[in-house]
Amino acid sequence: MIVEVDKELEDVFPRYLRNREEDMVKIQSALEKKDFETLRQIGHKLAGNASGYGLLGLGEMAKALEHAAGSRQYDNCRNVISQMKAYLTDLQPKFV
Amino acid sequence: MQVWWQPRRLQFFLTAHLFGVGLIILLFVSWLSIRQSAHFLQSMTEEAANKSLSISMLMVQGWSNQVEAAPDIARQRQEQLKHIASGHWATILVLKPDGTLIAHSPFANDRLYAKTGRDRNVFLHQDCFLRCTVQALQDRFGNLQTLNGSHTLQIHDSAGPLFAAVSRVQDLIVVTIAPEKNYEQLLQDSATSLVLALLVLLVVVLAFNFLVGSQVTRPILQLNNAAAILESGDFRSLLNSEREDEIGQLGRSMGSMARRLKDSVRDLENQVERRTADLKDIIEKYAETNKALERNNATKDRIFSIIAHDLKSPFNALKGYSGIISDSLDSLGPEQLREMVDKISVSAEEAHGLLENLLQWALVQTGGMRVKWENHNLREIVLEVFDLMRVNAKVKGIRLDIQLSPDIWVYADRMMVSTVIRNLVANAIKFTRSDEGYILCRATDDRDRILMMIEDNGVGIAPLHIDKLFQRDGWFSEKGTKDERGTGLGLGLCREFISLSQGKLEVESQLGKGTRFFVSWKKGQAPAQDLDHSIERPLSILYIDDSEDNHDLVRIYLKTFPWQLTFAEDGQKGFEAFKKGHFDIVLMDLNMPVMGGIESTRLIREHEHNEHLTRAVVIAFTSSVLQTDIDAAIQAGCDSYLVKPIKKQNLVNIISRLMKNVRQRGPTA
Repeated sequence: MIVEVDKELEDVFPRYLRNREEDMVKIQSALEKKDFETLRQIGHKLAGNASGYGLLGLGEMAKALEHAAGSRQYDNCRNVISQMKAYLTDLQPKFV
Repeated sequence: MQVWWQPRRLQFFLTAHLFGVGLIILLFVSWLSIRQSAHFLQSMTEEAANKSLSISMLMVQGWSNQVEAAPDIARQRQEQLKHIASGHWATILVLKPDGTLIAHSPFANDRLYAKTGRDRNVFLHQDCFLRCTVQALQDRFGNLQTLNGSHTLQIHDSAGPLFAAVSRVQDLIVVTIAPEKNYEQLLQDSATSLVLALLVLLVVVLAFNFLVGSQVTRPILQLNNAAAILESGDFRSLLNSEREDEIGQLGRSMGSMARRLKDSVRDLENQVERRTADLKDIIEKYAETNKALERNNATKDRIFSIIAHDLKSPFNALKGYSGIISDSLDSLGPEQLREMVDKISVSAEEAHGLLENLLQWALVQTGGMRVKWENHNLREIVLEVFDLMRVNAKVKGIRLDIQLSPDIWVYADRMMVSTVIRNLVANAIKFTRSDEGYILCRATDDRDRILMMIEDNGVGIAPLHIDKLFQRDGWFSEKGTKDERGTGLGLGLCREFISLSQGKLEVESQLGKGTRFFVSWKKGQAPAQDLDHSIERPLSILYIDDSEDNHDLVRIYLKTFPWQLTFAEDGQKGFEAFKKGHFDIVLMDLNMPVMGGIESTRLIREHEHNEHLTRAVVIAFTSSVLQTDIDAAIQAGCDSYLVKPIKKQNLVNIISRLMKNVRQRGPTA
């Protein structure tokens, strides 16, 4: 999946993705511990920055995660998280 | 107490009672004595007779040897008898058994006794006293010779009953006679005493009556009168009695009661007065509130009507022209395109101006408008307004002129000054015909005031309408020369803001020639000289956000600008950083761990206030578009807000726009 990203962000984009990998590790462990509060926080933060980096899809998923964790819906959280993983794995930024 | 006779005065009641009781006692006493008197008389008389008899008997015992005594002895005997008899109001006779009188005490009635002459030693038969006695003795005892022992008998004399006691002493007979008449005198005396007592009683009763009248009834009547006067509401007349008794106490009690009553009445009156005043206040307040409510209602109606009608037309124009451009961009020539873009610009400005007016006016109406007193360069504000109005004026072919020295400063609220000028210029454009039209803004310095004039050569205002312009609570609106709509809000706002700025608004106009609006502002001062230096200083920006990725984003987006950037991860750290450094602009994410943006903004504002710092511009970053969240941010002290995601253009635009304000404010202390 190719996503268009602002050329200006080319330098910082790899670091952004690295941070997301760290996020995903935290998310996974929080999910196992059913730590919904951590999930909600990470979801909120991600929702706040993903769109800024042009990753609108990720932003939507993060919002969904924030919402699901807020209402403590384990299954929904798990689904959204697997979608996010898939999104990040498939992601191919194209700097324009 | 129920009494069978209830006189009108207590005095008479008491008197009558006393008199009645005294009379009853007297009657009883007299009845008793009358009942006893007959028996009393008899026994007294009998006793007197017996007593004198027994004494005379003792004396006579020594006489028997010499019955016929010498005259001197006889006289001596007579004297002795007289002595005995006088003690008992009795008459004593000493007889021989044959009836010859030997000696006797003086008779109760000497007139009947012959002391000398032939009848000297004989019974005086004319005298019943003696005659009847001897007669009675003989009737009773027959021959006196045979009389033995002591006897008593009652004799009825023509002068009244007599009592006689008889006894034989050897060969002599002693007789004592006591007349009841003597004791009758006693009875008469006691009857006299009774009458006297009655008289005394009468006098006592009268005295009592007088006493009661003067000491009891009158004071009570006085008290009663005083009470009656009291009843009619006059508290002055109550006597201040000096008496020590119950009536005095009553009078004093009544006096103190009256004083208390007077105090209470006065208190009550005061209270009533106060309450009445309170009530009046409440009613007045209520009326005021009612008026305010009516005004608010009118305001609301006005806002709705403006939104429904006046705000619609510029948007119709916007929609229409932008639609045309969008549909037939390719077929439109550059001239046409320019014309339409201008029209869009005019409509946009119109809508914007109207919205600004509405918002500010609503603020004024709800009392939420506070004057932010600061020094402002008038020329800069006028140029800013002219810039906004440029297209509108150009479309109507009106020239905007300014004759303003750059060293004129006003002391007022920038927004208010700007609003006043914007509205006056907009009005001038509205009422000036195309071509040859001009609008001139001039200002002069007049001691402590700045006199600003906005002049046009438009259609002018009829004198009749000039008065309406300045009516409070009213809106006056007329269509412009090109049928531009008006709401009347603009001048209302001008009036309001100028009065809040302690200025004056005047107008002079000639129909067909033009209008001049004069506004006087408070004179301001040019900021200190180091202003220029500060303007050279690069803008410093503090970005507070918990997402480092967003830090990266902002850093990259703003790297081409000569602005100093500082970053913080949460509200707490951001506030610490703010205290240490000086920042013109703070970009504040609202949702952060540790401390959110709202709280942090509050702290920053508080800090600025306490330290008397110039207000930094705070821009809130929020992922929420909910009005409540935005309101919370504005209330906390944010100047503006950006909805995430962060876009480079939005960010640069908002910073550039607000930068102007920062520059205007000059350096920090």
